Amino acid sequence: MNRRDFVKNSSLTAAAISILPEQSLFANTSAPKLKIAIIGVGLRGQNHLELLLKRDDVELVAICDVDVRMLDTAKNMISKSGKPMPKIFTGESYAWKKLLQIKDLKAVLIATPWEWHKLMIIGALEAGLKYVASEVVIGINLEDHWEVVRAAEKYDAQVMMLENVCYRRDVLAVLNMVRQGIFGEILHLQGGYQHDLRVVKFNDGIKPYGGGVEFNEKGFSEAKWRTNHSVHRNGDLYPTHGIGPVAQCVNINRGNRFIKLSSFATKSRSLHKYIVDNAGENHPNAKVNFRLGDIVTTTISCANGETIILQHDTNSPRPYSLGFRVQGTNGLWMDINNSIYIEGKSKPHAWDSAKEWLDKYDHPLWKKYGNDAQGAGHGGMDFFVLHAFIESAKRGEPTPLDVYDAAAWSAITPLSEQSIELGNETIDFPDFTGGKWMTRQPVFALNDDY
Amino acid sequence: MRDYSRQSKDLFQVNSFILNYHFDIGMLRRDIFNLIFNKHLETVSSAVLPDPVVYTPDYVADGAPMEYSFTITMQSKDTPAFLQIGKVKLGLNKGCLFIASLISEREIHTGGKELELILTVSPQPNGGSYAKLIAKDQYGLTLSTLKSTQHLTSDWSGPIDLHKNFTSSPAEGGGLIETEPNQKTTL
Repeated sequence: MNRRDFVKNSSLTAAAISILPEQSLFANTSAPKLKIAIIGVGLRGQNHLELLLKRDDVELVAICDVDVRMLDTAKNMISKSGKPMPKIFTGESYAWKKLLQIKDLKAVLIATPWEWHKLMIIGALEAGLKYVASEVVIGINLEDHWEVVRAAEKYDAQVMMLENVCYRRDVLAVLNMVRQGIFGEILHLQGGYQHDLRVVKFNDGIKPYGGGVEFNEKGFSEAKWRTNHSVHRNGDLYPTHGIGPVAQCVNINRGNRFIKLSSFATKSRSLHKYIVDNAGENHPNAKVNFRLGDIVTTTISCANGETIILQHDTNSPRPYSLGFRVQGTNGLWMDINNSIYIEGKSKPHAWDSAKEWLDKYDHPLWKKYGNDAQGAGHGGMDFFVLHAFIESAKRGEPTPLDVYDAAAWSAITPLSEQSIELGNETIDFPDFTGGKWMTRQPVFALNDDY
Repeated sequence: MRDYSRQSKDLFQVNSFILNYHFDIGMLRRDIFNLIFNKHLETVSSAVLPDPVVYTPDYVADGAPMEYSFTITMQSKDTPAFLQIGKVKLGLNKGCLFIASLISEREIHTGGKELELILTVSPQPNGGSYAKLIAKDQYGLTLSTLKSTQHLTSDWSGPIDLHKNFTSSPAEGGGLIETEPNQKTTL
């Protein structure tokens, strides 16, 4: 049964699942375990490693990293878990290619710097793997995104970008409300990545967060590679956390698609200011010219008439917020003030606290797996995104977030860069599905399965 | 330091004037203002004017745009590639888009790869037109755009001739190729 048939028969499936013991979904010792490997066991890879070590339905067969310090931490985590030590691949930048040759390897999870994702995804597909999970994003330029899409099509394999925010509890509750028509017909959406990353982009080369203004060779963890993108690029460098959840609300690539995009960037000030404030004007990094505008705003139009605004704001002092807004003909949700307004239900011109609405429409996935997600990274949503990938791979089903989602969400970066480069020109959004968006049906989070 | 006592005194004088003056019911605010501050009345026409009417402005009440798409493989940026639609010549010259005398400032570097030119002509009021020429690479990335309002809609009517200077690859032939709107033509 393919996923489409599975979805069609969701009521039967849900009934069948409901009579199974819940634990049997990932603790069935008689079922063969999914042989999986991780490429990249830095801090993000270690989040995934921790979750994999808790599961009894997977066998971690290999890990790979060039950073000895990160590798040692990962090995300690594995030892403490009592699970067998997997094969270790390290020592050179392309050691991961040897990992991909492991016999019977079924799935791989990639959590490396962005510029490696395309190479590793395509490398895994060429090695014959049918299930490849990659951290966001999947490529740097538009060409990268097409190459990943073409490779996934060529090898008839699943490439899932691990966009965890799609599984955030309030996001899924709001999606549930959208699907039940509470907001009416959806008109406009907002999201973004508004996260003060200055202590991620700069550190002392020893600790991962802050304590200095070093990056590149002298930095540690993400400062070693991520900051360099702020030096050379000006666009929405991290769009997927904002776009993924709202894309699901309007069925992008499944009856709808992005049509046009335009981006605007403010001047770049805050990273330089941070260096000067923390290390003085004479520090060598105070001479670095950062291209990334402090706040980048992107507007996207959709085939079905919706508009989307994304904001990328990682350089300025501010509290964390993804700034979601989902608005339809009946009302709207705004996460920044945790409020909902539904005409005829809310007091006129007054916000309701979102809590009651979100509790009422809590998604079946969270009702079922909320306890399992306790303690998992990023408020539990890391559990769900990994669970979805593993369940898909175990069952041989398409992943609920597929390569077309990955490409469309991730390609916002190069498109926004180009829009800014052309003087905020409105530019066309490529159709990675090649027209299939018109007939593809929604599959994401339709029930409490995965 | 500001002299607030002086300010209060002025305000008191104005208030006294207002209290002591006889106002007619129905006086316009402008008249009251003039009485108080200019101390004389001006005759202002009070003829009733029609309310403004909202209608779709001319600049959006236009016809459907015409769209053309052409695919060109540029051998060299020094090789002009141009076409003529009706009376208007447009294309690429020295790596820059052009529409008649209007030339883009942005130079395109194709590296000999395929390039798509998309032209959209939107009719405008009074016979004018808004033309947008877009160059995209093989991945659909917009490389350059050029917009023009230089021509009448009627200037865009007529046969479409696609020219190419084949100095760098004469084996591919030359001459005129007629195309239809929405038809892709690979040279």
